Parts: sequence; structure tokens; C-alpha cells
Amino acid sequence: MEESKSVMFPKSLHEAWKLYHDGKESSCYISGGTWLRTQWEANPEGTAKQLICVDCLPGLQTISTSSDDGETMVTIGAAATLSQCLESPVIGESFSGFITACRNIAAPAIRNQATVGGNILTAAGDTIPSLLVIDAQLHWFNGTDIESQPLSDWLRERENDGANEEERILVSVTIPVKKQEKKGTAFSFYTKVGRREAFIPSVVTVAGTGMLTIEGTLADVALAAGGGTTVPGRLPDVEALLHRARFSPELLKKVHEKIMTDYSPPPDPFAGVYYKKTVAANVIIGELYRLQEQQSDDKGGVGYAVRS
Amino acid sequence: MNRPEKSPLLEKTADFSLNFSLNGSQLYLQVPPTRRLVDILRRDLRLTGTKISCEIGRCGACMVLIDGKAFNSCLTMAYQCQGKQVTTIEGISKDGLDVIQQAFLKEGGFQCGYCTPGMIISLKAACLARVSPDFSELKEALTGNLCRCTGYGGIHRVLRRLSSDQNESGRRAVGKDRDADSSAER
Amino acid sequence: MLLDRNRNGSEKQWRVRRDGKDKVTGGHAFLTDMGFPRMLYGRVLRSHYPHAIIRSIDLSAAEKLPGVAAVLFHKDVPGLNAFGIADPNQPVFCDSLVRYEGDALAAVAAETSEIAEEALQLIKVEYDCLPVVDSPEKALSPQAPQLHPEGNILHETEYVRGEIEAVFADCAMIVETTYETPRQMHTYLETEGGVFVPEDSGSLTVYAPTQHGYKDRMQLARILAVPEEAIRIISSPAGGSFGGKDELNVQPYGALLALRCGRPVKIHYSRSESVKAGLKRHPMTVMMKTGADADGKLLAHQVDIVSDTGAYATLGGPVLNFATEHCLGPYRIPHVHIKGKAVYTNNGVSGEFRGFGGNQVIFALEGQLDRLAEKLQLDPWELRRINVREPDDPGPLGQRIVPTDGPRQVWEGIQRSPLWKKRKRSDGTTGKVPWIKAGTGVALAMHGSGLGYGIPDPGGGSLRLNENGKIEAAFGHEEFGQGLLTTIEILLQDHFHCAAEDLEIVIGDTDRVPPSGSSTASRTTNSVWQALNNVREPFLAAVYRKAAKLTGIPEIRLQTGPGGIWTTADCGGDKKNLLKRVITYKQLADQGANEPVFSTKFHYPLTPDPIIGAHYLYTSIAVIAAVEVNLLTGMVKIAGLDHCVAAGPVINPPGYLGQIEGGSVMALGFTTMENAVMQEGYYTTKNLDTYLVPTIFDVPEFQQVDAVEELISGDDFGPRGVGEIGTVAIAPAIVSAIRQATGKWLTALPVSPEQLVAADAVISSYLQPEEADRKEKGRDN
Repeated sequence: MEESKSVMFPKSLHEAWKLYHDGKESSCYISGGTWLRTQWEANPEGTAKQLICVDCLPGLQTISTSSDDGETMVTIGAAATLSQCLESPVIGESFSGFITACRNIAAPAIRNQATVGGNILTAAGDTIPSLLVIDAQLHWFNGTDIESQPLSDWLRERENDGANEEERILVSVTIPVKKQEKKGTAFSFYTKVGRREAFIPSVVTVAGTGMLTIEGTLADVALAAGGGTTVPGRLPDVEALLHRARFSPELLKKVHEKIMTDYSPPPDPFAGVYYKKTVAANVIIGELYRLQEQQSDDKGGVGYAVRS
Repeated sequence: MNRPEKSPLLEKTADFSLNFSLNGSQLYLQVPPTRRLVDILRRDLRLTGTKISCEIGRCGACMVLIDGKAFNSCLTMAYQCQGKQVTTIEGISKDGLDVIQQAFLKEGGFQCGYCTPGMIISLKAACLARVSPDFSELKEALTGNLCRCTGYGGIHRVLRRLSSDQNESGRRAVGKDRDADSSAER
Repeated sequence: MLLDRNRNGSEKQWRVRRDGKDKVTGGHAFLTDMGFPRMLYGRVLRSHYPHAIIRSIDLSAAEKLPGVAAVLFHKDVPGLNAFGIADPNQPVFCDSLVRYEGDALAAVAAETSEIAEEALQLIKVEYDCLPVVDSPEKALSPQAPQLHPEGNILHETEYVRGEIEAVFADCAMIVETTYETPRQMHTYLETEGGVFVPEDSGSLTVYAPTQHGYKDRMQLARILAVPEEAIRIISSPAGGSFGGKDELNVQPYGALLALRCGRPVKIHYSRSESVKAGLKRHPMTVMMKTGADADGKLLAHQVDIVSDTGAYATLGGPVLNFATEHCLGPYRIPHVHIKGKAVYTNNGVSGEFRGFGGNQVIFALEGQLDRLAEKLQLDPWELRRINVREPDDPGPLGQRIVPTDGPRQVWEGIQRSPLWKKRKRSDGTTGKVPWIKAGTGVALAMHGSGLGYGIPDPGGGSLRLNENGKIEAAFGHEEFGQGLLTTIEILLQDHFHCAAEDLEIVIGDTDRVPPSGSSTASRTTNSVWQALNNVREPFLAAVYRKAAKLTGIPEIRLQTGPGGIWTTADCGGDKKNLLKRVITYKQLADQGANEPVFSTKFHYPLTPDPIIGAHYLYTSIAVIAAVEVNLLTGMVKIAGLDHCVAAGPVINPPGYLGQIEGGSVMALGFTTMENAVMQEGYYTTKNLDTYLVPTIFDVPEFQQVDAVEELISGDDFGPRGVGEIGTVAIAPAIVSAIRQATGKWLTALPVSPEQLVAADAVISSYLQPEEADRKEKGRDN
């Protein structure tokens, strides 16, 4: 019950860690709290007695850019809200798929409160596919120092070890800004399919990035799919199929078949497995079709994102 | 404003000193830190213009402004309001009806009226976020507000009246486009 | 006329709602917003199982919890431990058996809601679980556990005319299809709730929304074992109802707790409790076999309806009656055999919901006509013209009805919609990406208003000049958003030419209003209109008599107007010009003119033929829907919905428009997304994250509503209500549009993206661009 919960406001990561591990009562880190609140509403018992606020920790709400060795990195504090991301010029310029993901999560009021870290930590958040295809890295506080880990690795861990709670504190997400290559046109897409047009949990979410070279071949294609309670993941074999390939009906057909085989989400009361596979495959080859149309129109364009 | 009534709950388990501004008045309350803002408003302060409906941020009936931005008060806890400026529907019309409220009245943007305070707050947030928002920006602001009575017909009329790109003359243009579109397909 | 302010709206007609200002400022006190000094909070303990024997209930631990004022269960009900409008067979508190997840076992009143919640968890109930009957099929099987003394069938209907079997043999074309409809939730934004206040006099005041205050009073008196007069029901305003608050919900618990504690008690359901305990629309399985001759003339129609009425009766019987009557539509069909069954299950209780069984069967019937037309290679709209009723034809069940040409009027009228021009397009292409397919569909329906033959359906109202100098009109009707107050205001101003400020409109308070029957069944506008017609003359006569006496001006020169009584320029004729106000209403009232009260009682217009459930007054609608189906995802976007409605004169244009737009979108939800999913007797969709209703992005930005106001000459029954008609023909129009877009006939609602998604959506268009091109050109020519 709410009355028996206490809320702690640590001043540092170390202090937060100590509160979490030394407390006699069950503890939980919290930032925006939108997801936790809905969990409590559904199940008032069985929730942590002590909440440890991490959104006020120094730096956790900032979005910043840094350059190292000619490579630019964007760092998003784990407690930065989705609205903050939408307002950030640097994110808007560099990561259109991620921006589309943020814009399609819930509604403005939720986005004012919900954080990037929270979205990732559910291991099924709508931002995850968009972050997977741009090689996002997670940075954790492990009690002594900050350790880094590719998002995709962490998701694999979660998939295998979902029963155990993540005890580290997610501090930030970093994303490399790809340099604009001269040899072709970069593309990026993100599509979320739910059971209605807006304000809806995802049934299927797909994201992709890549390059259409001036020779007309595909390169550096990254694809990810998720949705519902599925832990999102990349589709490496599909990516391999597309690498250096040219558009052809046969290619699209092969890609479709491969996605149908490789993507295996669980069913839920509202959508079956076959449906989810088909939608993931359809949407991805739909995006490739568009890309090809765009190529034949010879209009170029630096990339686009699609709202489902 | 209503005088805060002391609920027995506050005496029993309050352990958080909440200091915040509500509709322009500074308030100091002893409440549990995780008490929902919607309960503070509706139960403790008897400010019932803010409604309660789904309690999981999925309907928008409990929308309030916190530092000028829309928040679901069912998802917002007491400690998250510390030092903030909270504005409820009661605070919107303190100096007479807001232009958004007038638009709802003139266009029939409601029937039962239960979703209306939340709708108005969401649109107010959009109008505070930018100067003269357009139709799609206003519509986007209502993504999280459900209405079960109007089918959003009256609410779309409200948006047309309020938006910079579809005022009275713009609305006629929309009607015209629709006709032109269909005759072109004949 | 098109209901469009730009074209026909004077400011007088498009007026601001009477309750408007309070609703936009947060000042509008809903009954669940109310608070009283010393108020307690009530909570209800719900069953842990959908079907179980109760072995024991132990309240002792809950009673001992500090802050708990009372814990009640079945032994604490002084009167009838049951409720139900038509058939009171739902226990207030279960004593030996629970039949669904929402069954109540006990109720607690405590100082805070949190303490009450804690107390609920301290109540110990021991159960013996029983097999769960979670579908009508299971309930009808011979081995099924019997859920009620009368068995598992609440109600059966049968209607026969002609020689159906013989005629099927002669039909040139027969279509047989089984349709399924979902368990739709009303999803009023204000969940059920209210405050119950024991008065010093020993009476009880109930502040809780309902659609029929007097009916609640009767039911509560029966439960509490007190005279009806000892209960005052204040029942308006409500934050939406749509039929869902017609039945009792929190009232028995609040009333019992308040009387026990001698303190005000508030109960306001959480959304999850509302989902669990509240009514839903009856899921129905409707089998239809329909035959026609080669020209498309309908010859025979066989229907088998099975409705899942859930654990208890409420209005499950009348809903089935309504479905039975409405599965024949506005068509002439000589040979008919209809059978219906309302079946008890351990699912949530199904009950009254806007459209009242019409929506389900009209979806099926219109689907049948579309399929027949396709097989006969006839235009589906032409097929309807061939079969539509003549104005003087009897009603669907052969009963005499008020002659109506509504179906033909709207059949014609819908062709004025801009969407009509899109109708001829047949191959679904949109000129957008190849996987977006477009289609349009049209549907026609006729809908009865009033409760129908066999159910008392009283109307009534009263009028007086009250002591404050206001013309006071009082009705036992309710305002739940539909705009009743404004409709009454307009009617009164039309009668008395007075200002809106001269009026006091009293509704929803049994101490201040006469019985008027329920605010349901699209009956209220008509009922109010009749009542005012009845009391207008005696009221005016009394007012003029008094005014003439006080002013010395002959009655014939007096006329009610803004602020009081005026002299007129003309002594006779219809048109009178007001010259001068000679006495104010307040002065009249001060001189004792506030007596008497002019009341009227009447029965809602009723067919003279004794056929149970048959209606007498009908309204009609034609709907055209335009859809875009995304074959990549199977998702359906409703691009347009236009309506032509025949319901008599329009009293309150924005109110009428709002009812059609709102009803339409509620039915859009029914068609495309809404379903309260139950698994083994438990709701899967527990809140609005999984039970989906349309958002602003799911609906057309504009719906054209064309109202046909002309009634057949001799029809003096005036305006009909339009609360339901906007909901009944949406589903078949949308499903027909989907057929045109995709070539797929869907039979189950809500439409399933799984059935529409096409694995080859991209490949096929990619492979045959030239063929697609040719098609495109062919259509343009």
C-alpha cells in the first residue's frame, strides 16, 4: 500500500547503491515512475517498500554530445524524459528512427514523465528496436564504477536471465553519430504497429538503418524487431542477406521468408505468432520497397522515418 | 479555493513535507511521499475539477499542468511535485474563461463533460509550449485524452477553431477540399 | 437538413449548452465528486472465482481493523437480497454460490478508502470451486452445471410467419452465414459511484447516477425494506452511461452501509472494479439463412440468435426481444422463422447498452443483403430498394406501427454524401502505396424507440410558475451528457418565447420531479415533447387568467415572453408581436400565481397489437463508410463515415449531431477494436490499456449528418430520440467497405487484422506492376 512506502533521495550513485543493497526492506530504483505506478495499480501487494529516486542524481537527466578521435557520440542520461529527447536538436538531426519511436510512445503527458532508461529497463520498450539498429551502448553503475555494455548484449542477458532483477543502475545510453558517407544515401525507418492508431502498446515494432550505395546496392543494413512482451533483437541473418544485395523481387521474397523464420515472438491474447511474424516481415520489406521506389524516382533524400 | 480539509489519513502516516504551488497559492502539506497527486487534489483538497477514471495514465481525465506541462495526476506522486507549480482546471479560468474553454462551449466539444477538464489542460499545455500551434500539433496534444461521448466530432471543431492553420476560413477550405477530392474521382 | 453550423446554424439553434460553463471550468459537480462531513468510504468484496460454492465467510478480522465502521454481508440485507430491473435475480450479497468474477460477498465502510481496501483483504472466504461455464455452447450442453433454478436459459423467443422450409426450396439464391459480435464495454469516463447520506428524519438521500431515478428508488426500497418515500434519489448529472448505469451498481452497498453507520458513505469504483462488476453489451452468435428470387426479392429469412447474458438477468430478456424484432430490418420478407436464446454463463453480466440488441443483428442482416447482392450480381443498394418496406406496411413482427417512410428517405438521402461518389470504385487501389486498399460500404437500418409492448412505459412531466418567478419544468429524466437540459430549454422557449434565464429545469431528483419513465430506449426527447404539449395550454390559461386579473388587460391580448407577460399587437392569429411587458414572472409568483402544478401522465406511444417487445415508433438511418486497409498490417483506418437519419423534427441541432457522431464512433470501436476479452470466466482486459476505445486518431475528422425531418402526413408523434440510431448501422457499413477494399468477407467483430494481413502484400504488387498499371487505366476510362 502506498502509505507504507518510503522514498529516498540519494545524492550520488554510491549512496543510491548503498541504499538499495543495505536496506532491510525491499527496494526499487525509480525515475519517472510511470511504469511502476501502473504495476502497483494492477498489483498493490508485492511491490517494493522503499523507492530510491535516481532521476535527481547528477547528470542523469542530461543529453550531451562529445567527440573523440573524430567520432561524435551522443549521451542520453537514463533519466532524460522522452519529451526531452524529442526536443533535443542533436537527437532530431542524427537519429530519426529513435525520434519516431519516442514520438509514438503513449501520449505527451506520459512522455513528459517517462524516461529513456525506464523504457529500456522494461526490456520490451518501444525505443529499443530503434536503439538496437544504431548500436546504442548502455552504461551502468555497478557499485564501484561505470561499466559499458552494448544494448544488444544486455537484452540477450535479459532474455536468458529475466527472472532476476537488474541490480545495477543504468546511468546513460550513448549512441555514435554515423558520419555522412559520400558513397550513397543513408536510410532509416521505424514502424510501430498496435491495435489502434495512437496511444497504444506495440504489437510489432521494427526499425532499420542502412545505406543505399550509388551503385544501387545495399550496405551496412541493420534491422531489429520487437513488440508486445517480446524482448527485441537484431535480425543478423536477414541483415547478411541484404548486405551488398541489389533490389529484386526474389531478394524481397527471400528476406520475407527469412524474417518469418528468424523472428519468433510469443503469442498474447490479442495477436498470434503468425500475425506478428507476418507483420514484421511485411513492414520491413514494405520499407525496402519504398526505398527502391525512391531510388527509381532518383530523388535521393537523406533518410526518412515512417509513422505507422 | 476550498479550504484543505484534514483527512484522517494525513494524521496517521504522513511523513513527507510537500511544498508546492497550486493554482498560484503556495501550499504546505504533510502527506505520504507516494500519495498520488490526484488523491491530494480530489480527496485532501476537495478540488474535484480534476477527474479520475482509469488510474493508469490511459484516459487523460486527471490531467494537470506541472510547470506548464501536461501530467497525468494519477501517475504523479507527492514527492514529484516538490517545489513545482501545479495548475488544475480550477486554475485555468481564474481570470475568466480561457479561449480554449470558450471554444469548447461554442463548438459543443463535450457531452457528459467528464473528460473535458483533462482535454482543456492538454490543449493548454500545447498552447503554452508554442505560439499559435497548428491543427496537427493541437491534435497530437490530445493523443492521451479519451472521450466516450462526442466521437471527437465536437473536439475536432474545437481544434479547428483554435488552430492557426484552420480557423473559420480554413474550415470552409477543408470542406471544399473534401468535395473537390471526391468529385475528382468520379 | 445538413447539421452543419456553417450552413444552417443560427446562434439560437447552436446555443451553448445549459450545463456548459460548469463543465469547462471544473465547477460541474458530478455526483462522484461530492463530499460530506464525516463521510466514510465504502468498498465491495468481489468473488475470487467465477463459479464456486461459498463454504464460509468470516468478517471478524475486518471488523476489528481500526478505522472500519461496518462490514456487511448477506445476513445484513433487511429486504430482498437481490436486484435486477426486469428480473431481480442478482444477489446484493451472495450467500451460498458465486456465479461470476464480479459477484459481491461483503462490503466495508471505513474512515479512508485505503483502510476499507485493507479490510477487504482481511475478510476470509472459503470456496469450493465449480466448473466454469464460460460460453453459451458449454451452458447449453446437457452436462452443463445449472446456474439458476430455472436452468441456463434466461429467455427464449420465437417468431414464425409463412412456410420457410418450402420457400427455401424455391429460392434462386440462398446465403447462410454465422456472425459473431464482441462483449463491448460502455466505458463511461466516470465509473460507477455515488454518496449515500442518512438524513436526520431517518430517510436516505442517494446521490448516484442512473438512467431512471424512480426505478432505483423502487429497487432500493425493496432491498432496504423501507417505503419508497423514505428514499430520495438524486441521479443527475452522470459522466456518461450509454445504458450501463441503468441497472443498480453501487447503490445497494452504499445505501446499506450508510444506514448501518448513520454516516454518509461514498463508493466510487476503480476502473478495474467497474470492468469486473459492470454490464457489457451481449456477445451474440447470429446465424442467418436468407433466400431471394433471381430478381433479388427476399423470400425467406431464418435466424438463430444466441446471446451470452452472463451470470444474471437484468435486461437480458428484453434485449433478446429487441434483437428478435430487429433482425428483419426495414424489409418485406414474406417467410420468416426467428429463434432466440439468452443464455446464462459464468461470464460478466451482459445488459442494457445503446442499441439494445439491434447492433448485433443489424450487422448480420445487412451482411446477408450484401452477400446476396454480390451473388445475384446486383448493386447492394439496389437490392435494398427492391425490398424496402412501404410506408403503411406493418412492423417487423406484423404489428401495427406509425406509418414511416424513413427507410426510403434515408436510402435516398445518403446518396447526397460526398462519399457516395467513391462507391463505384471497385478494385480497392488508392494511388498511395500498393498495400493500402480503399473501399466504401453502405448500410440501412430501422430502430424502434420506447420500451415496446409488454413493458410499462410511462411518460410524464410537470410545469409551474415557481416561487422564484421561474417557469419550472420538472421531469423524472436524467442528464448523462446527451443534452437533455438544452433540448428542454429549447422546447420551453418555443412554447413560451421566454428567456433561458426565465426557466428552471428540474430533473434527476425524486423529491422534486414526477415519474417520467426511464431515460433510455431513445424515448426521452419524444416523451418530454409530448409532456410539454399536454401541459402547455392549462398552464398558460392559468397564468393569463391571473395576469389578466392583476393587470386588467384581457387574456386574449396577453402573451408570455422574456421576463414576464407581454401585451401583443394582434388579438388573434398565430403571429403575435410583443408590445410591452406588463407584469414579470416574479410579480406573478409573488401574487400567488405559483399554484397549481400542471402535470401530465401518459403512456409512451404503443402498438395496439399484443406482441411482446414490438415497437410502434421507428427511426431510420443509412450510413456510408470509407475505409483504408493496410495489407501489411491488416489494420483498418476509417477514412469517412456519413449518415442520413430520419427521426422527425430536429429540436436541438448540436445535440442531435453529437448523438450521431458519438454513437457512430462508439460503434466504430465495436467494429474495429473493442472487446472485453474473458478467459475461463476472468476478464483479460482489466483496464483501458488493453480494453481499447477509439482515440482522436482513430476516427474521421469530419462526419456529415443529414437529418430528414419530414414525417408522413398524419404522423403527429413529433421528434424521436436519436440516442441509439447512430450506433446500429456502422458495423455492416464498415465490413462491407472492407470487403470492397480487400475481397474478404468478415463475419466476426471486432474485425481481426489477422484476417486481413496479407503475407504477399508487397511481393504481389512488386511482381506485377504492369498489370496493376493496366487496371488503373481501365478504371479511369
